[in-house]
Amino acid sequence: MNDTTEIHARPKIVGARIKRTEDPRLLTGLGSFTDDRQVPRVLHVAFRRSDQPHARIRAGDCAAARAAPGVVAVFTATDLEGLVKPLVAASRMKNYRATPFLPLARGKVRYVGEPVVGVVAGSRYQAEDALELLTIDYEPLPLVIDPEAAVRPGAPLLYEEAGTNVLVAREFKRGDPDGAFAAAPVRVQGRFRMHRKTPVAIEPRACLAEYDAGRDALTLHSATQVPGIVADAVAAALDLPGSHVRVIAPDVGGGFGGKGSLYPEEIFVCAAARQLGRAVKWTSDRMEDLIANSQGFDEIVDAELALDADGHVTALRADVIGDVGSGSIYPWTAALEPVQVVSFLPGPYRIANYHGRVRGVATSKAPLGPYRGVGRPISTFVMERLIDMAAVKLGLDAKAIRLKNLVAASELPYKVASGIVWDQSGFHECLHAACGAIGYDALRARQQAARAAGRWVGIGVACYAELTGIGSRISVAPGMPINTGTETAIVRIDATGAVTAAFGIASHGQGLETTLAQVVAEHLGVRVEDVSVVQGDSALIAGSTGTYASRSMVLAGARRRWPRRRCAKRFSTPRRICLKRLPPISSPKPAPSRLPAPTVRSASVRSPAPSIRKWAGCRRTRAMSLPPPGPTIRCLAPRRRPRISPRSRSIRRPTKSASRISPSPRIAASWSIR
Amino acid sequence: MSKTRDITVTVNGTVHEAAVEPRLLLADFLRHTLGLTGTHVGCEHGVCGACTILLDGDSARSCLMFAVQADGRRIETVESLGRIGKLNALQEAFHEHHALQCGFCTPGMLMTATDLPKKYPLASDDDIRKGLSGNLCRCTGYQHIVKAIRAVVGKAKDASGDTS
Repeated sequence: MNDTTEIHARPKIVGARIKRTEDPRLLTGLGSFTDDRQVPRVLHVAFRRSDQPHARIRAGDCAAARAAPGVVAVFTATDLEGLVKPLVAASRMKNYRATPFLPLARGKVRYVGEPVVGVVAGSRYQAEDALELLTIDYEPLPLVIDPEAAVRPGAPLLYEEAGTNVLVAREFKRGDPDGAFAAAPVRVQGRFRMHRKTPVAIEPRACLAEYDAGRDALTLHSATQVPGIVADAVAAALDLPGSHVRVIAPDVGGGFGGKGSLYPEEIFVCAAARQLGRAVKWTSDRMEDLIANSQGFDEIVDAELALDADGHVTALRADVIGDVGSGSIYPWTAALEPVQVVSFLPGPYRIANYHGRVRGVATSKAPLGPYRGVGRPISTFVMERLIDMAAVKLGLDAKAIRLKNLVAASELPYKVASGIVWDQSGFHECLHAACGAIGYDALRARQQAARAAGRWVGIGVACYAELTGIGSRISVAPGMPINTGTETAIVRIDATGAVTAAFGIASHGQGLETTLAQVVAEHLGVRVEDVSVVQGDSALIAGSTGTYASRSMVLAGARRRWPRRRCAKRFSTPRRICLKRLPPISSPKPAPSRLPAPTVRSASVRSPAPSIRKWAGCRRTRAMSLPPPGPTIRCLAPRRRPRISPRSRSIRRPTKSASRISPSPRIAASWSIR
Repeated sequence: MSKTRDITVTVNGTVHEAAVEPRLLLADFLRHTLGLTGTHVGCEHGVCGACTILLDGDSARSCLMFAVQADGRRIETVESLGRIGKLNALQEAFHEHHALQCGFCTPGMLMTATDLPKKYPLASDDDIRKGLSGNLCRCTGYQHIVKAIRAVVGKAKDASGDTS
C-alpha cells in the first residue's frame, strides 16, 4: 500500500455521520441549562407584569411587598434610576423612530406582560407571594390594537413623543411600476394576512447574574442565542467596561429566534445583583414566556402583480403594514421583520418594475422579534400565491409560469429592486430537479385522471431562495452597533495534545459542538474526540454575537479557510494560536465589487504541519492580538498543495473531493441589502 | 410562610429525609433541594412532559405533584439511567438515532420511554407515538425519538427475558 492509497483511505470527517458529542451529558441529566446552575445564597426574582395593554402608571405601593417574608428588595423603574441607562436600538434608517429599552416600565405600560415591578426574595415562592401584595394604580389609555387603525391620523399614540405610531417606514422602487400596471393585460391582486406567532422554545427563558464586588464584574448565565449582544448591552446599560461583563449561554433548550434578542429581565438581574451584592436569578414560567417573549411575523400585505399576455411578470407592487408591537426589539429594531418582507417579496423572479412600501407600526402587543425565517414566510407566501393566481387567470401550468419568470443563469448577477444581488443560483435547475424527482408530468396526468373520477387532487409548486449567514452590511449600513458578518475562532493546543476550539456562536440545539469539532478535526488532522469545542461565552471570543439567521456554520464553520501556513509556522513557537478573521474586502484579492456582501465560500488548504505532540511541546506562550473587526468576509479561491500527514508523515496529495466544501449546502446566493 | 413537613423519599435508590413546605413542587424538590437538575421544568402545568419521572415505577409529572405527596414513595429520575461511558440501551438508542437536539425534553422522553414498554406491547409505531403524546419536543425530532424507541423495543423482543 503506497502513501497515497493510505491517505485516500482515511475517512473524511466533515460530512461523516458521527454521534453528537453533546449527547452523553444531555442523555444522563448532566446538561447545564441556566436554571440548573446552583449558586449559594442566590436570590430569586418574580416580576409583576402589566395586566393593562396601554395605561399610565399613576402610583404604586410596594411597602407591603417589601415587608413580606423573605423579600430582600423591590425595584420599580424609579428604583433603577441611576443604576441602569436606557438602551436604544440604534439605526440611521430614514423614517426610523427609536424607542427606549428599559428593564421596567417607566410612566406607562404598553403591553400586557410588560415587567413593571421586580421583587427579589430568598425563594421564587416568596417572591411570587410578595407580588400579590403590590398595588399598582393604572389610568387606562385608549387601545392601540389594530395596526391599520393605529396609522390613521388622530389614532391614540403609544409613544406621544414620536408623534406617530409608525416606528419605521421604507420604500423600494424600481422602474416604472405605475406605467407597467397601466399597460398590463393581466393583473392579479390580493390582501394577505400573516398572524402573530410565539416562538415557544421548550426551555423557558432564564437568567442568573453573579456579581464579583471585588472586581465590579458581572457574570450572567442566560438562556440566550446571542451572548455577545447581551454582554455588550449589559455593559452599556450598567455603564461597565465590556471586560467586566461576561455572558454565558450554557446549554440552551431551543430558541427559534425567541431567545435571539436582549430582554428586560437580563438587564434587571444584572442591575439587582450589582446593587444587592448577591447572585440574582429569574426563571420564566410558561405563561410569562407566552406573553412577554418576542413574537413573530404579523403583517398585512396588499400586493398586486402585473403580467403580459404570455405570463411574464412586468411589475409588482405591495403595501405592507407590520405590527411591530410595543417598540423596537433590541438590537434588531422594529425594521427587522416588516422591512425584510418587502425586501424579499420579489423573490427569485425577474421583475423589472417594483414598488414596495412598508410601515412598522407600534401596537399594544409584545415586541415583534426574530422568528424562524424572518420576513421570508410571508413574502414567499404572497409572491407564490400571486403567481398561482396569475397562472389560473392565464391558463398556464404552475411550473411553466415559474420557469418563464425565474432569474436565469445568463442574467446573473441579478439585482433585485430591494438591493439583494443573486450572484449565483440554480433557480431553473432546482425547479427542474424538484419536478423530476416527483415525476411532475406523470403526477399531473394522475391528477387529471383523479379529477375525471371525481376526486380532487392538488399539486403545489413554490419557489424561494434561502439566505443564510447574513453579512455585515445589513447591520452596519443602517448604523446598528453590532457586526453580524464576522466570526472569530481561537484554537489552542495544550501540553496533553488536546485541542480546544473556542467560537463566538451559541448552539441551542443545533449540535454545533459536534459539527465544529468535525471542521476543526479535519482541518488540523486530528480526531474529533481530541477537539473540545467551547462556545456560548462572551469571554472566549471578542466581537462575536451568537447564533441566529442560519449563520453559525456559514461563518464559524467557514473558519475552515484559516490561514494554515501562518498557523503551522506559529505552532512551532507559541502554544496559543489566534486564528485571524478572514481578510476584509479591501485586501489585495478583493471580491468582485458587485458583491459587497459576504460571499462565504471555503477551501480546505493544508500545509505541512508537525505532529500535535510536537506542537504541544513547544516553547513559551506568546499571546497574539486579534485583528480589528473586519466588516466583511471575502470569497477566497481554493488552493491545493501537497501536505504531510501529522501521523504518517506521508505526503498527501490533494484530491478534488478534499479541496472544497461548501460551508452550507443551502447557500444558493450571496446577497446584500443596501 | 409556613410550617414544614418532614418527608422521606427514596430517589434513585437513596433515601432522603427533608423538611419541606407543603406547597413545594416535587420538581423543585428534586432540582433545587436535592440538586438533581436532570429533571427539567418546561411548563409547570403538566403539558410538556419534560419533568416526567417514575413514581413507584409509573411515569408521572413532577410539576403536578407536591413533594409531600412523594412521602414514603420511590422515585427514579433520568439520573438513575446509564452514566456517561455506560449509557443504557435506551439512551444509547437515542444517541444512535439522533433522538435529541437541544436535549431539554430528553429526560422526560427517556423516563416515559422507560415506562412505556413495560406496560404496552408497542406493536406499531403509532402505539409509540400515542405513548409519547404527553411529551413535547419543540425541536420536533419526534421521528427520531420513535425510531430510537422502536430500536429498543425491537431489541427487547429479540432478547426476550433479557430485560425486565
